[in-house]
Amino acid sequence: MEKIYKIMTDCAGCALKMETSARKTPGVKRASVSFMTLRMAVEFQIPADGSQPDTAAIMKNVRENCKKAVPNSEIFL
Amino acid sequence: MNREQKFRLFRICLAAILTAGIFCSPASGIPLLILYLVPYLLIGHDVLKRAFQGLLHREPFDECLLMTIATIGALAIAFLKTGEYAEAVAVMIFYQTGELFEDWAVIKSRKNITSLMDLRPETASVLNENGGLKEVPAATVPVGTLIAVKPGERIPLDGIVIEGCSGINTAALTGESLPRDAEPGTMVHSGTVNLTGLIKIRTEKSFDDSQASKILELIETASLRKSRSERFVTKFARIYTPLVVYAALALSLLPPLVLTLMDQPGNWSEWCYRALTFLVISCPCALVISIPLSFFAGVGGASRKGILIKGTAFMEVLAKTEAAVFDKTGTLTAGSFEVTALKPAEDSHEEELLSVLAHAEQYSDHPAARAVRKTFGNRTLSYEVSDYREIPGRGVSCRIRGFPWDPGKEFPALAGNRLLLQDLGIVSGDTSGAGTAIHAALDRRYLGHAVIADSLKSGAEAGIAALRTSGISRIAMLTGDTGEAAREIAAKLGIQEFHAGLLPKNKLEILERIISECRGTVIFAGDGINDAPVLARADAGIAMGGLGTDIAISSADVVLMDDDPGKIAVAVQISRKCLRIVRENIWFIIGIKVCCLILGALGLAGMWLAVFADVGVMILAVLNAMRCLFTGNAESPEQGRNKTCKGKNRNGFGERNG
Repeated sequence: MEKIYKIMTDCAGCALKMETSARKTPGVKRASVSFMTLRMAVEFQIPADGSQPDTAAIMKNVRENCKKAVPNSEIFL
Repeated sequence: MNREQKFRLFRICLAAILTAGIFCSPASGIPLLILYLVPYLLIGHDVLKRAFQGLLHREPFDECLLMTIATIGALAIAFLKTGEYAEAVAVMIFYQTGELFEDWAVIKSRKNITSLMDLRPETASVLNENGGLKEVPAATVPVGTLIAVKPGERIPLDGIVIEGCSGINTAALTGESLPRDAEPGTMVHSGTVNLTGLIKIRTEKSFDDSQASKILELIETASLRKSRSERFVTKFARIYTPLVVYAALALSLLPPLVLTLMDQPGNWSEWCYRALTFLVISCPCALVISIPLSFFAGVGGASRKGILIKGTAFMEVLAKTEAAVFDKTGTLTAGSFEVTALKPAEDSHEEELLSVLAHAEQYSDHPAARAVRKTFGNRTLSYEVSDYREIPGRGVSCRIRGFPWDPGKEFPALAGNRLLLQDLGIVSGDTSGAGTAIHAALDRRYLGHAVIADSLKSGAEAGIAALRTSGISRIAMLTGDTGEAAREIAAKLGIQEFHAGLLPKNKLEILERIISECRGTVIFAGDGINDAPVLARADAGIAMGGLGTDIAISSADVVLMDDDPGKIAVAVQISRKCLRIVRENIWFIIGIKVCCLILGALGLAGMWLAVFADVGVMILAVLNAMRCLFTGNAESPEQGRNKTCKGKNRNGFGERNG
């Protein structure tokens, strides 16, 4: 399943870093960041037992990781 | 420019003036360094801060860090040897100028494209019980509310006209300037403009579900489905920057070390300077910003022409199109069939034929059924129909009861093509002549046929011709219709390859065959209603007439908002132009950077050239990328011809990619 979030960042390189950070976060299957439209699409991994992924918790981690990589970035959850 | 940008511009000017002033001053030694540090810190303090933060978070290879190392290094060399501090400060000033320009360009194009597409009025005039009007934010209007739209106003929400007649300009959504008529019962969409009369509308969708919101969302998410070029840039940036940094490190250490070992003067500061030049050149910002910007501008430009491209990846597909496959009905033809003749069999008559056809086809949504109903008009359907079955690619079979000669008995009735009757062993009559024949049989007796003809869409002929001049040699047409009808349309359009009498699954098989025979990509254009699997299977599925049909928007990769098949050629041309610009930028940027790196390593290029390789190239690339937004001349035939040969070349090179 995929969800789209609004983000805030001020350079194209930072957007790439956010993409990398999001992709490395556990629970994220695929992440794509568009600097031009300030959107992030996150595809979540379906847990092994087939239940719905806990998107809120995963996104909290994604946001934290992104902030680590790009201090003045923001993901609007 | 916004306030922050103005402040940054002011800061750049101030730093430049200060630097120039200090350059002319007679100071030297440590006081000179301190003097230069004032404009340096003024212009670069935020870069230094971010570089430091990057180090803290273990995210090196940040452009800020590169700039920091390069400028501090240059200052150090200047202090120890040359005394040319101005260079380091200038590098920082130019870097900040580049950043400012990049920021301005991005914000400007963002605004340009989204404001162009954001056609939603902020407020809606809600009608209350006693006929008064109240302005409320459009986002708060619930479904089912009555709203009024005055002439000249934009319609805020999707809805059905309840009262009033008017013309509606849908150009903002479709690119089509001819107004559409609206009368009570007509569905109207948000973002379109009410032209002539006051209309009252009952809203059918909320603000977020309305057409204009959906289109805006589509464009905003398009850049998330990234093209191969964009993914290439991402990967390239990840490898390139560290590579150059290590090269710089090697350049600063290895040659002087070797020279020292060979008992020659090591000239450490010279090699160090060359390494710092490397760092300034190394920033990949030009690539990182200009490629997504090109695609974004391309998607925006196309949307202005009523072409919605749902992912930048599809621009690449469109640009490489080798074969274009069309559905016939509803795509190349208007799909509004009319009964042009009734040909009853010898033992029947027109009335009986039409009556049986109208009864049998009364539930069908097939265009032919609609044509029959239209001819039958307002006459009442007096018989009872039961056991109704629709057979794909054949027609309708049912049982009809209530005929005056035997009111109690049910008679089997058939309405459809020759195959339908053949399957049940009924021989149909002669159907020579143009148009599609829809045969009828009652109680196994052949009644005759109605001739149904479809008209070509106005843009179809020019559209096919434009595709051909764009170098797309293979154009095929698939249809469920009869061979004769298909042949007639194909002849009019000059299409050699057509496959008629197909069921939806046959269409899929033929498309797959074409895909396997083509090296390039295969696009399929359909109306999105009954060919969703074919749309999905094609490299790029193009749905016609997205206005109002959600299925088309969800199942296709490209949506043409108006019904014009001619827009396909325009979409291909816009994509090619965009990709050409992207390719130009990739080669231009990498080429200049590599040249400057070589010159820098040989000691032929100083910091000044390095700054050009970084900032200058970025500005040029961004300006080039902005060209993608201008699609106006994409249609001119002269350009189309030029592209023909390029298209062929590209197909030739296509093997390399595969």
